[in-house]
Amino acid sequence: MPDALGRRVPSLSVLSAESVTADSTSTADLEIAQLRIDVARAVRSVCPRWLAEQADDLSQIAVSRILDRLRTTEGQLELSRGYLYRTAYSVVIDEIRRRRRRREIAMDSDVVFQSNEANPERHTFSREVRDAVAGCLRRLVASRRRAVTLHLLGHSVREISALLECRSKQAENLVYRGLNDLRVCLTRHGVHQ
Amino acid sequence: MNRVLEHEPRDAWLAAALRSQAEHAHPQTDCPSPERIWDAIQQRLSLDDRLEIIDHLSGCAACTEAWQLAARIAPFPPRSSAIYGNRALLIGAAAVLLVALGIGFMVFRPAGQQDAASIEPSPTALPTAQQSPNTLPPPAPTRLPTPVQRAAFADAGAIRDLITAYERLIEAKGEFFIDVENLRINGRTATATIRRRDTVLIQGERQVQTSTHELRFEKTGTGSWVVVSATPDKPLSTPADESDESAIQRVIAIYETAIETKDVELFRSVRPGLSAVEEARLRASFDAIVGQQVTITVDDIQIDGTTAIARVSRQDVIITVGERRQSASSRQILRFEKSASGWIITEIGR
Repeated sequence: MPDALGRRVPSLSVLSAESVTADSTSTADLEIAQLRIDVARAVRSVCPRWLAEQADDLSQIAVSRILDRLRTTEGQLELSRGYLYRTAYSVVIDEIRRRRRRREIAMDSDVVFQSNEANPERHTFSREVRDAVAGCLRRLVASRRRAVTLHLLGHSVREISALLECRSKQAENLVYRGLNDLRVCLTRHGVHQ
Repeated sequence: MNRVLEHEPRDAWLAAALRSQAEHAHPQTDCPSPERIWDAIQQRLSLDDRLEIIDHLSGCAACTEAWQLAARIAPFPPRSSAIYGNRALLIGAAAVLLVALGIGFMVFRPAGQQDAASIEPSPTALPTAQQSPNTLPPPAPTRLPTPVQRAAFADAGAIRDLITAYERLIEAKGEFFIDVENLRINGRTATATIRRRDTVLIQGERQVQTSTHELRFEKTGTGSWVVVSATPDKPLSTPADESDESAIQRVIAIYETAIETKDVELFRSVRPGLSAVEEARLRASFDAIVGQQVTITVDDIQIDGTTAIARVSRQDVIITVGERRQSASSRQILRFEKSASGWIITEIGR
């Protein structure tokens, strides 16, 4: 069955059969091999650069999740490209969150990590600005806050209007007025460009 | 229309600020699952669920990062009601449809049927377009100082009046000026660093002698400020024959040492105009790390009279909690001014 992008997608129903016959075994192996390739590609495209070394492990986790899901759905799961990417994304974000929660520290303390942050003063300064922006965003009227947040995250007016289910003109106004409110609030708190 | 609102230059920093800090962001306990974030972008969630996640984004740097990653990878779905956002297209399509129906009706109507137009007047076919709201942003409210700010202004004014009174009191004894370098008010106490320049006659020649004092003030029960102590004169030691360039390099070296040793007072000696906010930020950055090694290389110094600009390359090795070491390279622009006591840093640019 072709997926939404026109790609042929296997159902892999053979994998979930209670008894895998000898004839179907080779087909299943081929499909799993193809699945691994597709998942690895998806994980690599999702994985941030600093996590790239873990891409193989994450691919393995993603494949396991998909196979588990196939078993629970008795093979009726359609492996669309979107589903593979969604699973890859989910595995990568879980890993990022896990690392951030644990604050993993390398055993070898002599290892020097290259950081994108210039220095502690700048780091503290950017944190203050971010806190101020977040604080002022929280004070905005909800509709404007949502529009401004999406705008600052790089969404177009069309996407904002779709996500908020409003007209384009309304989304545009919400962004403009919200940004104005945000600037006033930041100025009041002594934060400016 | 599908117009994209590009970030104005004045807003680009806001976007950068919102996205920053993700590297250090702790996920919160109520962060939505990755699947829900993905589905929200794909518009597979209900509007309420979507809004809940968008509301969460503005206060969670970790989810901001996750959202942006998903938005980069997940193709934004074609809008199911794309025509909804384009009123002109909708009206045009309706008009074409009506004309086509009209022509069809005129050509194929049954014989003997009475013309509808002869029975009743034709209604207005199309609704008028909704009046577009005013796109001008509302005028910014007049910003009046808060009661706390007003009190701070009043305190600062009272202390400066006190210093001026002191200046007038002793002016009769000689010619001198006082510059208030730094005034910090902390509740009912305050400190001020003043720079005093006395013009004295030594063997018939007028010479300027400079000294700095730190005055401490206290607010009495009646609300007036009094001087409670003053540090002894601190003559500023500047080698007389030092060139401007080497003096600036010496100041940069002190700045480097001040950061490495986390010495705020030393830092202030070369950057006397440190505001309270800047000082708090400096202390916070010192507290956030275990240690720091700074290597500053001066790339260029441009001296123009009593001002100068130094472009420096800076290499930091930061030792964070857990003995993790991070290195970071950056370039800075330091602005200097030649004061009576020598060269000082007036601005630390990035």
